[in-house]
Amino acid sequence: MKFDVIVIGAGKSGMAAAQSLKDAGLKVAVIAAGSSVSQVSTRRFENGGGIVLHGDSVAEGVFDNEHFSSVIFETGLLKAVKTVKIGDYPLEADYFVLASGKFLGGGITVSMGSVRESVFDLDVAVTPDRAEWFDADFQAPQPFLGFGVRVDELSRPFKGGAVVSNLFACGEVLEGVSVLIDPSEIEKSAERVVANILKLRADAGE
Amino acid sequence: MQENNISLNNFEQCVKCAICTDFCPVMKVLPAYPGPKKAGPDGERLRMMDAAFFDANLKYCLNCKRCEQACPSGVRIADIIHSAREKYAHPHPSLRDAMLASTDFMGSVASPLAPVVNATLGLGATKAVLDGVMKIDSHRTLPKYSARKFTSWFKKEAAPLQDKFPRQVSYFHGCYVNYNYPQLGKDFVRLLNALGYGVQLLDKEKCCGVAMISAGMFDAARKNAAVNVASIGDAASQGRKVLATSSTCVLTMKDEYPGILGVDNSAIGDAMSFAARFVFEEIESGRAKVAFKEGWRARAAYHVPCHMERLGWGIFTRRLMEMIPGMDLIMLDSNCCGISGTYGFKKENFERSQQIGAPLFDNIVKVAPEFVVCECETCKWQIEMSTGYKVKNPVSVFLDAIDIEATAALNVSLN
Repeated sequence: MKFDVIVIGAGKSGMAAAQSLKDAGLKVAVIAAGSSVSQVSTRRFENGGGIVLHGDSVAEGVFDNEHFSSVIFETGLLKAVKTVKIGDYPLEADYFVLASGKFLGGGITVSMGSVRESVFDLDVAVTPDRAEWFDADFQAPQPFLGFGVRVDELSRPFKGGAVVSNLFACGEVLEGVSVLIDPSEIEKSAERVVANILKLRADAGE
Repeated sequence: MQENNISLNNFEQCVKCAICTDFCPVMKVLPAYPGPKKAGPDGERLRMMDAAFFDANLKYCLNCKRCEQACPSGVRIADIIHSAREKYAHPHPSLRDAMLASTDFMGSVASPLAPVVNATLGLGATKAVLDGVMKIDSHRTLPKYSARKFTSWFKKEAAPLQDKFPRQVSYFHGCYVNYNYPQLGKDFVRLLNALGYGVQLLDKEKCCGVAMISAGMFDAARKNAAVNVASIGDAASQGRKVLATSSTCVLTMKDEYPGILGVDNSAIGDAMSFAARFVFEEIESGRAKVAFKEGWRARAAYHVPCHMERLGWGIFTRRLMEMIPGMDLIMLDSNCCGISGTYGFKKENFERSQQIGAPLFDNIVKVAPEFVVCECETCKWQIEMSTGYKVKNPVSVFLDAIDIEATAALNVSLN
């Protein structure tokens, strides 16, 4: 099964990106691990022909490994994702949007001494010294709030140092983005991702 | 998930966000019901401390699984609720509950007497007795029994024709196909044969046990589970897919066996699938070919049953239906129909069952389709009774849309 875009995450930024991409005429599916916070936005999206995989989550990404091992290109390509519920049946797409949230949403997993991106194990921007993750002054801006995936100028994250050329991140999963820092960045980052995908498609003559 | 989880069903993962309460269809119509958060993980904490905290209202849970669907933290809320019912309520099912739950037994008794049973069940006097004595609501249209069981038909008419196919699948027909509606099973066999697959029954098949779980007959359900896991595991070890046409049977065997009954179902693995999903995957991959009828048209509405939503495979049914040229498929809003197996048959639940289903019924009436597509037999009873619209299994719809002879000819060459 192939889509133009698969959005991972049905929170505010994920649904904003999904709706805009669908309105632009693309075939879009949303993987919603736990139903969306807003039933209004998922219903609107589904009634307009969008597909939502309710209560499902990504089990693994199917990457084009040749791209990663290549010293020449230094880019990766995400070909498909497999989900927990559907199992061994890849859902393919030209583009993927990662909007999996941060700590509460589960997009970023924290354990003693390590901070990981939960879905694809993407490169995460994090202060190496655990003592600097937080400020002892509870009221001060907390450094850990900015932890998230590192992205290039087109909002594409890195995996093992190589940019994943068809994956885009928006919302709280991003480095430096948190509702507690600036809530408006949640939707703004989704708008940037939509614009970038539409531009890349236009450049490719799609 | 957390490494050192000490309790079952992930209850420690609950972060108290309460999204589940917003998705519970029972809470909307029954204020006395504590709701999934309070009945599930919150209540579990208290019950672990003192069994006196067990709330008898937990029996009103539909087991629709919408709370589990909504949970962003992967807590198996409904499983917690039903495990608590077994542990603390020690339910003693009434004669009515035992009869409603013992689908295999009732079916075996009723099928040979089907014309008499069906005529009798339709009589006002019988309904009055069932209502008054048994507390089975008289407003409910009771499902009809078939005079000839599906398995009897299969063994006589279909079985001899199956071995000629080089590719084989097994069929978990379930109680509904066997005793109430063998036509669906016949449609399944005809469709799979046309696509080039022979159909075999399992060595032994028992009711999946879902009705026993709701009636509190957990040990009886465990016995059935053991038989089914062994039979399906056997088919799986021969490399055969085991397909079902009822979404609830699949969910029960895949999720509830380990989640509620504590039965190890790892022998089933990926062997169990749903008919519509299997057919879609075979056609999409080119392993099976299909020829559609010229000029077939339909405007249908798809109701994804709660248990199909929980399985996460509704997308395959949707795509299979959309594959048919001439199919105009409308997605209904995600709602529970309210019957939830045997729940809606019980007199004390009838009115609530209809209230829960009301948004779905309104939605169907507003869309006014030619028919409704749905994989669940009890949703079918509920929707047909409450809206007057006919409900069809996707297998039957797809079979109707294809040119059977032309399809079979295409697949003979593939074999």
